[in-house]
Amino acid sequence: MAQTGYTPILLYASGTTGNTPSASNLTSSSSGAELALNYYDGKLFYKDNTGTVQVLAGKGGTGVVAGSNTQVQYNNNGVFGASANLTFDGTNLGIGVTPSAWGSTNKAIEFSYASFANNSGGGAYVAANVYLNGSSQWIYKSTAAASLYQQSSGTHYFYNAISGTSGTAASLTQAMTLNNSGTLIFNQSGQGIQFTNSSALTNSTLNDYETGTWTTTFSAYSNGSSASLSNATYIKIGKQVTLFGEIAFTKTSASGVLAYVNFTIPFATNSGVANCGIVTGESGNSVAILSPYNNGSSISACYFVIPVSSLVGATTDNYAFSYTYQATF
Amino acid sequence: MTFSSTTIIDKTEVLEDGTIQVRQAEVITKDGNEIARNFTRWVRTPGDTAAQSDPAPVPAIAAAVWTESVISAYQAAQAAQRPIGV
Repeated sequence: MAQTGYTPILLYASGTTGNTPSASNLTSSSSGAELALNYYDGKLFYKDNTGTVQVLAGKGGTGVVAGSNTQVQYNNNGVFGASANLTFDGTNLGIGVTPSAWGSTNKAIEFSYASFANNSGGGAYVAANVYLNGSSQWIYKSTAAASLYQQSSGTHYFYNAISGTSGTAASLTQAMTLNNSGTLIFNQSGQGIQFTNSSALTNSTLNDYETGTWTTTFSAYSNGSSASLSNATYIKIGKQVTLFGEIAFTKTSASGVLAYVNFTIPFATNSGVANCGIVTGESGNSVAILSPYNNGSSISACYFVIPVSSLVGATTDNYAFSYTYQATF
Repeated sequence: MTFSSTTIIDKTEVLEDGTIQVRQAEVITKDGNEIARNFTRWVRTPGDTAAQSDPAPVPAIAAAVWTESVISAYQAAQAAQRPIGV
């Protein structure tokens, strides 16, 4: 009912969603123009100078939206503009592409191949040619190789994947990690820092560094009854291994030419490489050698060889040594 | 600030002749984050009974790899060995 004292302005109206006036329903001329209202949809219509019915405004004061559904509205010379190159699906934003079906917690900004996405665990993803779906699978966006950089809890992860079929799950390999302590880790065996000073790339790759202690097992005595190892440490740089330690050798004979014993070493020798070490007795007046096997085979063992004549102790002599050899890896 | 230390076998390698190279790591953590890893290495040759007393998975690897034929072949090869020049 109209308010007393006021004269209401009535428009053509419809309460049915989707209803729009036809051009013949409205008049537009210099003497006056009619409006029509769909009060269900919240849209106000008019007929423009070409005789086409247009939306003049929408509910909420949004005005006339441009483009198609999910396209982001922007100021295009004073009116709403839209483009298929800027699409928001309610969770993810696509720039030049329709967003992929990301998992609900990721909330990505996506380009044709590249994406920047949230990691629900508190980190971030920068992905190339893959997206993370709702089943926590990385999916190829196109048939090509893919890579991924992830930050999570202060650790940086680098992944890659060989070329796969668009729409299928990618098997990402963790290639490198920078952990939250600042240590850089090469996750794949044989990979490392490459010095490009040679065409033989394998031989110019520093792929290992390790230090530690080691223990051994003695066997196959000749002119000896027992041996022990102490102060045993090692340094391995690439294929080069240097063992440090002290062997106490107990002789059983003061005659003969050589005494020796076999002992295990922590990295297998490279076959065919003449590894040999010189051992100095603690007394300073006796020497021994560390020798590989006589067939040059690759094996995790070595010989401790002493001239019997140099065994100066009553029963047991101590020999400090460093032994550098080439390992298989 | 909480420090802890855990000892694990973090690497094993089986050679062609059945020898098992073992690396044990002492992993030191501070508040759950690893800050250091100290290594100790040793070797078990086919038939070495000491492998049964090693931490897992060394005994299982030895049991799987060291068949009678592997042990026999290794021992035969050792019996024929001498240091170079001897």
